[in-house]
Amino acid sequence: MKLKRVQELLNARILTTELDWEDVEVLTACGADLMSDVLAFAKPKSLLLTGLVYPQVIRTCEILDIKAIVFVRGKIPPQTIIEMATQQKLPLLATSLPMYESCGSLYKGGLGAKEIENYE
Amino acid sequence: MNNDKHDLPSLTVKEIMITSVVTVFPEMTMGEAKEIMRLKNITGMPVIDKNRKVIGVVSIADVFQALDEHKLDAPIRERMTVKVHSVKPEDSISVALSLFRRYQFGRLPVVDDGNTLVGLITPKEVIAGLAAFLKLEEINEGDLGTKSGSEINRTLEFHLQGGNFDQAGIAASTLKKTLQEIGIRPEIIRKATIATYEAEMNVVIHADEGILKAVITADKLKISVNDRGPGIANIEEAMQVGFSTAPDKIREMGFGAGMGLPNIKKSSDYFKIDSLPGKGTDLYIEINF
Ligand SMILES: Nc1ncnc2c1ncn2[C@@H]1O[C@H](COP(=O)(O)OP(=O)(O)OP(=O)(O)O)[C@@H](O)[C@H]1O
Ligand SMILES: [Mg+2]
Repeated sequence: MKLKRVQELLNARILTTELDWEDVEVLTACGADLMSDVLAFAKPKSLLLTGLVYPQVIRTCEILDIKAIVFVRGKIPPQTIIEMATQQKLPLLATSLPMYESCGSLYKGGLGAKEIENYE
Repeated sequence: MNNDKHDLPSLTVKEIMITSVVTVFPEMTMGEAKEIMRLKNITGMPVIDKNRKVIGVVSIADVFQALDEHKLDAPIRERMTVKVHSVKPEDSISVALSLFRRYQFGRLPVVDDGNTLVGLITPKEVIAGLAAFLKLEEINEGDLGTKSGSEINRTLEFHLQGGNFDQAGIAASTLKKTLQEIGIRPEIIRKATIATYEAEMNVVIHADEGILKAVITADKLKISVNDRGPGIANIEEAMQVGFSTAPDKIREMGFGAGMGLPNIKKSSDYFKIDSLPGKGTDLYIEINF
């Protein structure tokens, strides 16, 4: 799914305004407030939905090849984080929807119906 | 500045040498030498007799040659280099430096007047010694390291500081770039990067400080993380998914779910963790290419 479509489905706002983002392609999504979970479960080329606005979130995305982040529940990260993401060419979006509804809308919209691997 | 230059020779071999030297006996086989080099991740060793007298040096080049000639079961005695250049503990560092430059040796045994082995130096020790002498804070040892093994080894080393979250992830992302440059498969890079990041995080979250070392060989990646810190009293318990002693502050950041160690194990082909409570923790993993 193109990020442009994600933005429409979630009525989201782009935070990294300097980046080209509309055509960035994500294959699936991972909704988590736990970076430990993201590290254990996320697939490459995913979209991350999270309510956490720490620099570690950006780092984790770099480690995992996550293509973009949507901050849910109206959370907006500080400017330093937006700059960090811009440098890393990682588009950031923000929506006022809560996590459950955000994930639901994207899933219904057809994003990544694939199941995550079972954690052993 | 000029005066500093004259001070250099005052630094002696004794001050910089390694004292716990991996050695072999002449009656051992080349196959055994190869295995020791692989396990210890070194490219050569002094050959000593029962009285610790240096009688030769066996290097990875000797091993390769024996391999080519199907002579891995030959005794080291028959295949080692017998004309050994060595240095004395009281020699100045510049003596060692010029020997390294002249002969391109990977290592020099350090012997006393009776030719008894007392230590070993490689260009790495010389550089580290000089760096300490010049009070250079940071040098990239990785690129300078075991020069003689540079065809097979590439080493990256990172210093990790407990509580320094800004820094956590640097080792993982540097390693990721390096592996990408070498052309390692993406699934393997992913496992390596995740394991490294989790290991880095553990030192930053739980320990005081540590060294993360990644050695890239032709067929695998070896990562060791040695830290100084509280250690782990019950490793079996720490390995359980969900077990965590991380404080709330860490949980707020999205960590501390007790998933790191199991994730490291899952990502690696070989996993070993040892800990001495009150002292620190040693993690060693391998990921096959
Ligand atoms: N380097 C270390 N030094 C001391 N204790 C450690 C170290 N690494 C792990 N531990 C102990 O083992 C526990 C489990 O570690 P693990 O990495 O699995 O989870 P965590 O670090 O607590 O959380 P997460 O990795 O999910 O962020 C830790 O909570 C800590 O008590
Ligand atoms: Mg951990």
